[in-house]
Amino acid sequence: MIQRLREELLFIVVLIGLMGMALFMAAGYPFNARLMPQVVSSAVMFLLIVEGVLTIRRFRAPHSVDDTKVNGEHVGNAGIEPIWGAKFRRTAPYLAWLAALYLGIYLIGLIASAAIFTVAFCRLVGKMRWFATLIGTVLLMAALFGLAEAFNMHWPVGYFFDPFR
Amino acid sequence: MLAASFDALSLILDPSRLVFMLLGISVGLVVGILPGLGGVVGMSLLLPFIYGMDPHAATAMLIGMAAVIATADTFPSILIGVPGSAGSQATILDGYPMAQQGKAGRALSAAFSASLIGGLIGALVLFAILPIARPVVLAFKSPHLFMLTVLGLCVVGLLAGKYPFRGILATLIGIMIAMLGSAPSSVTFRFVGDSVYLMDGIPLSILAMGLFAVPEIIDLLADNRAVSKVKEISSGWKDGVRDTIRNRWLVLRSAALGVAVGAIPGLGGSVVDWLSYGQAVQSSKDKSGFGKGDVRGVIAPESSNNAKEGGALIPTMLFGIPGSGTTAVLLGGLILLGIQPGPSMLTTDLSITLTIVWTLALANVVGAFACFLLSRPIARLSTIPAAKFAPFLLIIMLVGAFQNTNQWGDLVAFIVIGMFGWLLKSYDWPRAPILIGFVLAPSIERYLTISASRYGWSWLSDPIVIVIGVLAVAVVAAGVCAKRKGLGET
Repeated sequence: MIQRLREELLFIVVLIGLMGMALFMAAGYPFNARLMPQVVSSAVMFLLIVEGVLTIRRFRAPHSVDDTKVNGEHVGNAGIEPIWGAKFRRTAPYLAWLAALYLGIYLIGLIASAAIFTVAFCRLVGKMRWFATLIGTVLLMAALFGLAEAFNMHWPVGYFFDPFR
Repeated sequence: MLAASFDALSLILDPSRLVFMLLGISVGLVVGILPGLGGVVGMSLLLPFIYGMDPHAATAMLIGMAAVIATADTFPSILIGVPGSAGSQATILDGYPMAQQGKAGRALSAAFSASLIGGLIGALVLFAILPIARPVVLAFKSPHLFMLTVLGLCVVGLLAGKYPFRGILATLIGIMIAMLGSAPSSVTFRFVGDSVYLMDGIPLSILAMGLFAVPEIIDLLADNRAVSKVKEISSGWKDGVRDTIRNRWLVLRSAALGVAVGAIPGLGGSVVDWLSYGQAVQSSKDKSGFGKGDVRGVIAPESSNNAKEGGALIPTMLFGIPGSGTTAVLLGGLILLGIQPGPSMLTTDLSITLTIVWTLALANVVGAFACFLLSRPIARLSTIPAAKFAPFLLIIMLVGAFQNTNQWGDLVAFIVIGMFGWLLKSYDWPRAPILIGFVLAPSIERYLTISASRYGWSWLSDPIVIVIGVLAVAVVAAGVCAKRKGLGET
């Protein structure tokens, strides 16, 4: 619980820092351009400090968040476990997949890397059969080319090589 | 008027025009089902095709598309917890928990039937109010619109999430994100540094997909589960319709609220579902189920977000003031067709106006039935493990994100906002208010600037401004007290 509290406070401190930076930068703008950012960033900084105090009180209260399941905004299952512990270890492999996809798009463009990514992910993570994997990938490619044709859509091309440039 | 309306109906039922309305409805269904896309994107997709078209057919296509998005966007909201468009955010609060409990069928069925009734009420009110709306809409001046927007943001901030201050903070953070790029009332680029990409600000669809879709996909994958925790989705389709009939007064109240809020320029789409959700909570004796899968939390926002389309068309057609982003693009379309929105919509262009009303009604009926038919196959998607659909969804979202400016910055912004959204979700911060703050920020800044330059600071002593201001303070105070007592944990 202490680690989670530290993480939440660090998150609040980072946000305060960002708002402070915005407040500082806005000071150099003309009046019409700085009015809103200065008012809003000041309010955010003040409320973040209040929220920081309330967060500490929540964690120290007799009936703390430990006692109840925290549903956040009721989407998914946010809980009280620290993010930079087991949760990050569970998440890291998928972040690595995402990073690999981005690297692929940068190097060989979206279409080629999307095809490779889809096949590899479906086979290795989704444990899908070859037939279903290939059907899904072909349908995805067909949808992408169809959308591109119908709406004159573009996609990122590779830096070094792109078979669909 | 009645004879003219039947003439307009015969015009729209002409097969050569009906086919365009159905085409618009089809596009609307697809756009609504795809997470992150909304009415603005749908309108933008269709706009290039209306050049040279028959005005009745073209308006039928555009309105048909816009009308069904609010129905179809329920699918992603309920099945994967990602808003299909800005107007379906509140549906997530109870719709997604229902899907997780295996009640996706019931939630969807209740949502579609409520949407159908709400949409029809919206069309009916639009028809009835057209001749008498002018003085009412003109009564709102910039200071009033500013205060109404502030009130909307206060309500939104309080309703979202478990902790009241986090909701309000999230709203303000959304406003700050919207400050990136060029200032509306000054030739200044704010907070962009040397980035050319940021000069136009962060695109709305990237913010929406990044905040909502990325965290969901990452968590679904990390937890190695499907959206629904239950393998079999209960039928419950008839139960959903019965729920709507049982809560008919809630449907009517929400629809009335939807029309009223939709008619106020700048509020519309992104706030109406939250206001409607709020009144559903406040008017219920038993509030304990809200946020945990209460069907009333689905019915209220779905009824109002369909009804608001009718309301949003009132200022659009009568004064050329768009009530929402979607109607802003529609306004451009009408001008392209040679139709000048304004009082002439009730005289020389009356047939076009009535075509719009009929299309709104027909599209809601057709859209709701199409969604009912598609429900079963699409609802089954929620039982598929995330690892089997995540790569496809991710690629489609990346392609969608890249369409905003066709720059690498789109992809970078998408992932940076996605990671920020993941942290917010993990630390139990509400994300929806960020989106709403972001959408309403330009309106707030514009209304504030106009008010200050037109009235100085004397507008603060305007009685209507004071009343709305007191209401906003009362809402915040009551909301904070209620949440602290554990009564308002929605």
